[in-house]
Amino acid sequence: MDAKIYILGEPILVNEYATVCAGHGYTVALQYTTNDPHQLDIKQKNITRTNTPPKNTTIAIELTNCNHTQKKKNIQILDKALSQSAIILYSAITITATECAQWMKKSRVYAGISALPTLINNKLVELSVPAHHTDKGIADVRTFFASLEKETALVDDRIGMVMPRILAQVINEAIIASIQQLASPMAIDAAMKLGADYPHGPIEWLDNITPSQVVAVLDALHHDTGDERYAAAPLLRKMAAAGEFWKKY
Amino acid sequence: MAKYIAVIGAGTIGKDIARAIALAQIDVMLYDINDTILRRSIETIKEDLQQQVKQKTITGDELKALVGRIRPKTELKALGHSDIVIETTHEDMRVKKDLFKKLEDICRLNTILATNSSSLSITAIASVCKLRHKIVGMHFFHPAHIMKLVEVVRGSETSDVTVKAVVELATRMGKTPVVVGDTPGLIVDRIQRLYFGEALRLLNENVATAEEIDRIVRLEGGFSSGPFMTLDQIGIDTDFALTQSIYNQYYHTPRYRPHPLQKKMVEAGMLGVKTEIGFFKHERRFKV
Repeated sequence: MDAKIYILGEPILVNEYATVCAGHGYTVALQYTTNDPHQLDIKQKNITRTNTPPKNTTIAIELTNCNHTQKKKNIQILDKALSQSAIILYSAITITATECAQWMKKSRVYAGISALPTLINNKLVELSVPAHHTDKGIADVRTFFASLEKETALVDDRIGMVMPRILAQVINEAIIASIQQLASPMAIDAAMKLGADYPHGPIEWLDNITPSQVVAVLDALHHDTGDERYAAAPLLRKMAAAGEFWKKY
Repeated sequence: MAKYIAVIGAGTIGKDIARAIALAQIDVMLYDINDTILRRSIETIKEDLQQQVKQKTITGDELKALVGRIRPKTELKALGHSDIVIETTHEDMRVKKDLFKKLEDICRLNTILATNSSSLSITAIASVCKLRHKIVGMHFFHPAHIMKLVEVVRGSETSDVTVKAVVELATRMGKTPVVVGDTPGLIVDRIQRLYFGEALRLLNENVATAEEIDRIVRLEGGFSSGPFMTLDQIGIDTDFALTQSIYNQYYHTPRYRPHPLQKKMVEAGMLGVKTEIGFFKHERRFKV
């Protein structure tokens, strides 16, 4: 593969995207822009760490969901450092693709993606384009994901997109049921897998996606709609604040 | 160990529960006030099993033995000596309370009375009974002879002995029992309000079409079926009634709010597979 991929943002997402891209033959440079313990033990030869955007980047993927100040900084750095021909993809689940596009000055191909931990391991990635932007360059983005063996679905530019929004709500409800001691977390997972044919239990999903990511999606939906149905459960918020610490319990 | 089991109501779910019990080589009485429904249900089980005989997954003798274990009853009194009675009448609190009152008069003192309800409170049903410790929920999933999950619902006064006996029966039936608290929708139906509710909102906000949302949920989420195809299969009216019931019981908590789109479809008679049109068009495989 000729394309040079530069991935930056939250380690948990950066690692997943780097692994998938490198696994499909791309040369990947990655950069963590937040501190959390999900650091990748880089074994693959075609993955390197960097502190600045490599000049020869052809596709940049910005993956920050929990900190919009950092996200803005990342996107502005990318736009400034990379040539106009470089495609910029960015997670657009806690902020719209339209809002992120305002931070870029160069005319280029860019699109929002449904980046939530674990979802890249499945077969489809959602795409969104800013309101004022044509989907002219989206064919290149689709080709890139096809090279990763991922189908794409172009959805309207809305907070949460489709799967992250559904998933965040399901997980939140499972946590509320757990707070009310209606069943043990294990029983909730078993019930959803056996009774509703879920591929994973909601608590198992939470464990992999992490509470901070789920709270970020819910808070963004709550802020966007003003609807109480998106209020994150207090326990979920506490788990997010505790970081990795909650897993010990 | 419970030996004499009875199922009340020979509709779809009652018939399938009786079949699941018979499949576990346990004798079961299947009661319905309507003899025609009762006979038709047993015929349906037979026809279904005959297909399995043709496919050689069971033998003719096994069919005979299985159907023989299901004993049709049209007299409620005949269930008096049961160890466990599972009722599957429609979701109406008044009907359930009347039935449980009658059952308590008819049955032995230690008979466990279970309801298949997921949206009505076990504790409320038990309120009309004298021996409330033996009232329990046993919620099966459709189709009950195939789906593995049984939600065992503990009401405020349900005893450990009752829960244990019902868990043991479910396990003998090859099911996975999950003990849950008494709450509207229990675990699965309650969490599913959010799953379906969010999909309906996404559709109504034109984030994506029903086809695209289903494709995304299958391919990105890893589900075997998307929310709209599932709703069409369940019946849009059935799901809407359940959502309304849960929403009302939670005093209009916004998370369970029904969606006007679903109401509109119910009013239009677009109920899913059973009316051949819902979120998708469905053609019956065999037209009469």
